[in-house]
Amino acid sequence: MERVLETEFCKFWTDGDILYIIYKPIEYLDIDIAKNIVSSRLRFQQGRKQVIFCDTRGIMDSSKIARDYLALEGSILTQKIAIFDDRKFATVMLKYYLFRNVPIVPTAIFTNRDDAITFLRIN
Amino acid sequence: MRSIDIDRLKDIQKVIQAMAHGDFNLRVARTTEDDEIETISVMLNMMGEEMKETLNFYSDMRRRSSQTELIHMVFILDNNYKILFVTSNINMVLGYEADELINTSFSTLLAKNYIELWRGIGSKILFTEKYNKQHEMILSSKNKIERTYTCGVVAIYDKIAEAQYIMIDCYQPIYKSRMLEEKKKQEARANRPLNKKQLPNVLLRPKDRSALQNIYNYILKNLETPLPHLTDLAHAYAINEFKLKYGFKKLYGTTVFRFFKQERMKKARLLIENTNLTMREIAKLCGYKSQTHFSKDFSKYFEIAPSKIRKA
Repeated sequence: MERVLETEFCKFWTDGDILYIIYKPIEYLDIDIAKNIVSSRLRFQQGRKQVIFCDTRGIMDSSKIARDYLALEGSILTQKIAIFDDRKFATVMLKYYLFRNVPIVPTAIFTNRDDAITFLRIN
Repeated sequence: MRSIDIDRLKDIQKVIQAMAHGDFNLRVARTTEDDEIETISVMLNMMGEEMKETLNFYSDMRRRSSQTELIHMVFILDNNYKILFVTSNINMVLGYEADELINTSFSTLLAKNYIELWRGIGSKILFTEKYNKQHEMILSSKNKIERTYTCGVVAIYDKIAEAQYIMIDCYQPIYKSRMLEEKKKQEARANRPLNKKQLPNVLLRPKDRSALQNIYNYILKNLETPLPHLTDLAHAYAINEFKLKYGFKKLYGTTVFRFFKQERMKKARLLIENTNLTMREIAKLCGYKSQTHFSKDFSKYFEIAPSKIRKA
C-alpha cells in the first residue's frame, strides 16, 4: 500500500521497500527544522527500519548543528541512505558533510536518480 | 568576468581575510547561482563553522589561559518588528549607524536566507506567552558579509502601556586563534619529564587521536549492542585503556560510558516520542536486554519515566 505524508518541509512516501523523502525549498535549514523532519519521518515509518531515498535539492543552506543532527539522529531506524542532488555546489557540500559525519548506515551521494535507487535495491 | 562575479569574489576575499585574523563568525552571502564560485562560498562557510567549533573546544580546554573578544548587541523591536533601539556598537559590528536603523524592519539586517525563518520565529514570539528562546541568527552587514550570532529572543509585555516589545540580545564570543602561540609552550611541556601527578598529553599523537575518533564512531554505530570492556575496545583500536579513558574525556569532554549512555538515551527518547514501538522493542533497539533496566536508566537520565513521555 502506498502511503504519503506532506509536512511544511518535506514530502514522504513509500514505494515498495523504499521511503522517499523530498525536501521542499528550504532557504536555511536550522536545528528546529532538522528536528521536525526527523520526527515526521519516524512517525511516518511507524517503527519500521527502512532504506531511504533523500532528494535534498530543496536545501539552499544549513547550519552545522542541523547537519550534525541529521547525520546522527537522522539515521535512526534507517538501513541505507541514498542522497540525490544534482547541483554542482551540493555535491561538494554533501561529500564534505559525509567526510565530517562518518555515516552510521551505508550512505552515498548521487547526481542521478536511477543510480540512487539502484544503490538502495542492491542488498 | 561578469561584474557580479567580481563582487562575489570580493566577498569571499573579505571572509578569508577575517579568518586569517582569527574571526570565524563571518559567512559569504549565498546566491542562487550554481557554479564554482558558489561551491567555494559553500565550502568556505562550512570551513568557518568547523574552525569556530574547533576553537571553541580549544578555548574550553584552556579556559584559564584563553583570551576572548566579545560581540554583544541588543535590539528592542516593536510588535511590527521595527527597531526602536539598538546599541551603538552596531556601527563597529555591522557597519550601520544606530540612527539610520531606527524604525526600519529588523528583517533588513538579516541574511536573505534567514528571512523566511525569522518570519516563522517572529509570529511565534507574538503568539507565545512569555516567549524566551535562543536562536542562531545570520545577520548581514552593510558590506553584505554575513555573520552568525547566538541570539536570545524575549517577548516583553508592558502592562501599563499595553504594548508588546521584543528584545533581541546578540552575543558572539570570538576565540582568536592562539594555537600557534601556544604550540611552543605545549611542546616544551611535552618534553618535560612526566610529573607523577600530571597526566600525559594523550592527544598529541595523530594516531591516538584517530583511534579515539574511530572509537567514537564505533559507539555511535553500535548503540544496539552492549559496550565492550574498555580494555578490549582500546586494544581493538591499537591503543591502551589509559589513553582511551583520558584521551576520550579530553577530546569529547565526557567519559566513554557517559557518551554511550547519552546517545542511547537520545535515541530512546526519539523513538518513544515518535513511534508506536513497544518499550520492550525500544529497549532492545537501544542495547538493553532488560526493559526494567532500560526504564530505570531512562528515568534517571531524563528525570521522567518513559511511560509518562509516551502518554504525553
